[in-house]
Amino acid sequence: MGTLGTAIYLAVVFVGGWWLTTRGIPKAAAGIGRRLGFRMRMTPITAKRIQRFKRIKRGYWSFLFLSITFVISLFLELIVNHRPLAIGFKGRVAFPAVEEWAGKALFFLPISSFHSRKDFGQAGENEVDYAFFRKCIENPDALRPEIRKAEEKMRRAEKRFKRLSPPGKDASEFQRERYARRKAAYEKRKGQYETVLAARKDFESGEAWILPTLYPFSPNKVRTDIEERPPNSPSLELGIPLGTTTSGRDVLVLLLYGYRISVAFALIVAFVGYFVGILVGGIQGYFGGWVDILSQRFVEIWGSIPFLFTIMLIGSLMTPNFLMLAVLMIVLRSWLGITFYVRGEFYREKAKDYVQAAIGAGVSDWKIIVKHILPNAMVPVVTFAPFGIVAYIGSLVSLDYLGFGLPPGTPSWGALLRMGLENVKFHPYLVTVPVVALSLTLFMVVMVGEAVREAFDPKVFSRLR
Amino acid sequence: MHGMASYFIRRLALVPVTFACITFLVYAIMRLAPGGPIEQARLQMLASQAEGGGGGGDISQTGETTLPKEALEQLRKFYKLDKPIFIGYLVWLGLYPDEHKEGRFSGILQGDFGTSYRWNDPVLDTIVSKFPISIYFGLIGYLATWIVCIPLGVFKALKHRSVFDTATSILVFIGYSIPGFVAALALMLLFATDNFGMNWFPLGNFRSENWDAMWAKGETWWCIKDQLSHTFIPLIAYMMAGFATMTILMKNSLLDNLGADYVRTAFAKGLSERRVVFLHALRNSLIPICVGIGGAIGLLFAGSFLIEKTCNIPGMGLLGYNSLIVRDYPVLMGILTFGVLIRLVGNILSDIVLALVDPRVRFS
Amino acid sequence: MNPHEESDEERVLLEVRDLKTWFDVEGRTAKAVDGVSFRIRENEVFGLVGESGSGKSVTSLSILRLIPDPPGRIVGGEILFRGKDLLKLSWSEMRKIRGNRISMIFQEPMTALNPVFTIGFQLTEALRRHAGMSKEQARDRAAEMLELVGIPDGGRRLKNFPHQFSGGMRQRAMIAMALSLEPDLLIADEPTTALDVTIQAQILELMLEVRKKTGNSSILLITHDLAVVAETCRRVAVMYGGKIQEIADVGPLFRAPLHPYTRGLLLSLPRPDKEKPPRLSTIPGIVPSILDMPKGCKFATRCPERTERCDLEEPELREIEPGRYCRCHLVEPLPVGERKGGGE
Ligand SMILES: Nc1ncnc2c1ncn2[C@@H]1O[C@H](COP(=O)(O)OP(=O)(O)O)[C@@H](O)[C@H]1O
Ligand SMILES: [Mg+2]
Repeated sequence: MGTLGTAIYLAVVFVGGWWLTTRGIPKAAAGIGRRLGFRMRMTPITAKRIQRFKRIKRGYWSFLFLSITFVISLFLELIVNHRPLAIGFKGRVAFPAVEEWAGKALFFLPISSFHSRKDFGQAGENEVDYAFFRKCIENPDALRPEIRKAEEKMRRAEKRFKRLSPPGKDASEFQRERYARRKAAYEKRKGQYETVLAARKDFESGEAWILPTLYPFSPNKVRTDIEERPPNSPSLELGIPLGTTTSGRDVLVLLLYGYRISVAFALIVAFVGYFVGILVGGIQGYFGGWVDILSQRFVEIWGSIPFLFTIMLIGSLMTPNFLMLAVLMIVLRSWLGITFYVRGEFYREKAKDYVQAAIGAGVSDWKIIVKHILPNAMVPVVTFAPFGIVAYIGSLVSLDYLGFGLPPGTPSWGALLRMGLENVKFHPYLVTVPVVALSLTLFMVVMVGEAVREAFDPKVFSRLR
Repeated sequence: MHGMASYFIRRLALVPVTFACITFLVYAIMRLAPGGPIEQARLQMLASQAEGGGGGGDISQTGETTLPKEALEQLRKFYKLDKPIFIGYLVWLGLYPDEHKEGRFSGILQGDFGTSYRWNDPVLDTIVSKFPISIYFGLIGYLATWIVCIPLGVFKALKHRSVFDTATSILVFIGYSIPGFVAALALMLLFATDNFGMNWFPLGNFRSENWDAMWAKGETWWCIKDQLSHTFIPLIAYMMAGFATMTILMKNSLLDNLGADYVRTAFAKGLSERRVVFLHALRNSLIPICVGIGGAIGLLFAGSFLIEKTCNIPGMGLLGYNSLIVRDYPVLMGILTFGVLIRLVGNILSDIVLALVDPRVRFS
Repeated sequence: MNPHEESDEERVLLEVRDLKTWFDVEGRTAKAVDGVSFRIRENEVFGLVGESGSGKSVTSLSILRLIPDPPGRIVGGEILFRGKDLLKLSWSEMRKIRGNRISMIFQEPMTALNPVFTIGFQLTEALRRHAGMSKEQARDRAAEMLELVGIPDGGRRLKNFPHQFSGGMRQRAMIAMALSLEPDLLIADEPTTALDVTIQAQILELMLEVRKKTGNSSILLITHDLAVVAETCRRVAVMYGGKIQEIADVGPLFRAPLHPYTRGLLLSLPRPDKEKPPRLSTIPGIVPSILDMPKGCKFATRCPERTERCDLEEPELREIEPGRYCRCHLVEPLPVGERKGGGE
């Protein structure tokens, strides 16, 4: 891809991300909300708070940056992937990266991104070697060693086959079978050789084309194009801007995929947890009485469990996957903190005249909660969420760092940090890169949180003397 | 004072309940977790029964979680698998006679946490021997945090929205966004390796290996220096956790109190600004800070995991980590129990401190 | 100016002249107090009435220079206390006046006392600072004051913390605190509003009584309740929208209110002396936000007698007859011969 192509690609990514984040997703969400029957009207207080938030630049820009990059990262398979966006060979066209992305996004549909080598001028039945395919387009001579190898294999199979004479009538079952097997092997090798040989012509005559992704490497693929032994220090000339890990995987790719996993994890844990917390806190505050007393004791006891240690313990018994970890975090921690505030809010609101009047007028509990109390209870949720997200990203990183988190091989910042610790003496970039990435991300989330807090509850210092 | 006494009786009455609930939970996790020690022991028992009590069965049926046979035998006894879960729990707790120990009551209430099958020492001794190191860092870290954060928070409140306030806020938020162990890692990279030409501190460990020998030789000065240089990086890491929270808490608490009505009353009496701020407002704004003491004790335990692993400091955290790696379940259960206990003690301590500093709690 | 008036001038304890206290509210200026003038004479109970939000508290806090800054500022005017402008005093001189010569009682007894110090500690603080009493002297005096405000066993009660007192008792303690140094002026900002209706009258009576027994201070009594004013004050100022609308002696004011706003306030009073209850007319409409005050007369938006001129032009506070001032286009001063100079 030329410089112009790269520039256009980048522009599409960022403008698309920006548009989706600021226009597309909010509009869609509002539309869905309206469909579900929520009235989407902003109270003047909310509007004022949003306005105040936007005025705090460092928080607002951090928020934009984080949300746009996260939205972009949802399409990471289309941007950073060793599989190309599109590939064509002799009239056959495929979209491996798109298929991979769609397969993950629509996990309930059986979408496969697998394409066999033999359909794309390569020998064998495995998945296409896209990097090699690309190399061949640039220079069909790259196929030469491949052709030689295929030819050798064919000759060897041929020799083994020709050594046997065709089995006569009295040939044993074994002989007959061996003959058939060797014949098949020879024919297969011959076919592969012919494919490769023919492919050369197709590559030369321009019948093959490929549209690679912006950064054509994947998290679980070793950077085979680097000749030196890993770990490789960052080098722009070699095309590894952030170096490779001890096993030769690209650090930049791991970092990007790790970003998506960390943020997604934190968002899920925070929001599901808060949902549960609001429910529990609301029940406590609204109904009061013994429900309240008992459940408060329970929350207190549950909160005394050292949750990180418990998750590690469970993690040592079985390797949890992403979803299990998230569920554990929610169950053990994230729903607890918010109950206290929501409970208080419900108590306070319920005592107010208008709610009492509504109760007196026979409005249903559910309606009162949703219409009158919940909007007020959302305030602590919104102000806590960013700090919760910091904590949950930190927890996931900690678990991965200690080796009790996501399954090995998952791109994760914690695993990178762990590798950094093991190589702190001789490969400083393995420490620097994840430390900077993690700190910067968390710092921006904290900036958002601080701005939200400031927008909701501006602290003034009025001096008296 | 009568009110206070009954308040504490009420709080204290909750402790055994809470303790029982959580330890039961711990026990249940251990006993029921899929692939856990008990699962293995049970499978093994089934296998040996199926073979007619031959006892020579193959143990390695659950893949990675394989334990030596003797250990499984020990575990089976330890968790009282032959008994219902509740009885097993009571035995473990020490409220039900243990037939493996001649019918004595022998559980955690008697100080019997079992035996580490890795080190073959009593679990209690193993855990208690790690206390001093965790307390050393926790205490110094906490004191240092107080000494820095309270004046800083007060000053930031009084200079709210000044350049100084904004600048330190950004520093504080940077501190907040870097987890302690990440800071330790970064500091080690900067100051304990040759990468940046600033190899000033040792790369991890609690002391040099020859520390005890040097101490015996009477090289006190060398020992102190060695200890301090090993303390620096982990200490900063320990402080990261509480530093930002405490500074901001102090600042916001003082700001809130400076806006309170009683501050206006105090000014209307003709008191000096100094007296109003540093006596009336500060006294009130220290209440939430003091209450944090209890929580900090819990953190002292929890936060240590990552830092001790990073800096290779042999405290409670590293013990827990290593026990997890080798699946030393008696030790793990002991640590969990202690973790819960420490938290409960911390909560009570918070309550006591709150009652001491806030008369509204003391007299109602 | 005749000699009689001269002597009247001499007896003025506090004179507020054209006081302006403004607040910054999200980048806009709220003129909470905008050109307020009045005089309080020695030993006089002076009432300041108006609906909530009219700027009464801000006026009173301005006198003690207790305006929170930011967002507030006293931007102009003079506050002459025995002839000295309080706004020109240094902070340390101001502190010698606060709690000593001028003291204050606030609306909210629940929050006005510091929760972590004993009543005794808070009562003796000012005594020790201003009168230089020893610890024992101050304690005795404080106990005596507590008994005086009707808290029996004052000596023991000194050891209590504020939350051990009921709201009424806290307000009594505040009164004790405010009067213990026999100030020249006591500012009472709605001292009974937050209390139970049953003890409101008690507390008010107590305040007046204790004041008689101590230094016979002047009182600036702030309230939104005209009935209270009728019972306790000699002169009264009516405030609306950050401005004084009418000042008069209590008798004439109740007999013949001049300003439409005062008339509105009076109409909403229950009148036990009349057989027929008044039509329950609180003033129609709501107080406009201090940020969106009308350009002309502040009361114009709610005034039943409003004319075109009221919308365009803000009326001056003019002396209608001796000692009586009103800010209304519709109220004309008496003939020239009987007029004094400009407004107060
Ligand atoms: N701290 C403050 N910040 C901003 N505005 C204030 C503040 N205090 C008072 N104000 C403004 O001053 C106006 C008058 O308030 P106040 O004097 O308390 O009225 P009241 O007559 O009820 O005592 C209020 O409407 C408000 O807009
Ligand atoms: Mg007021």
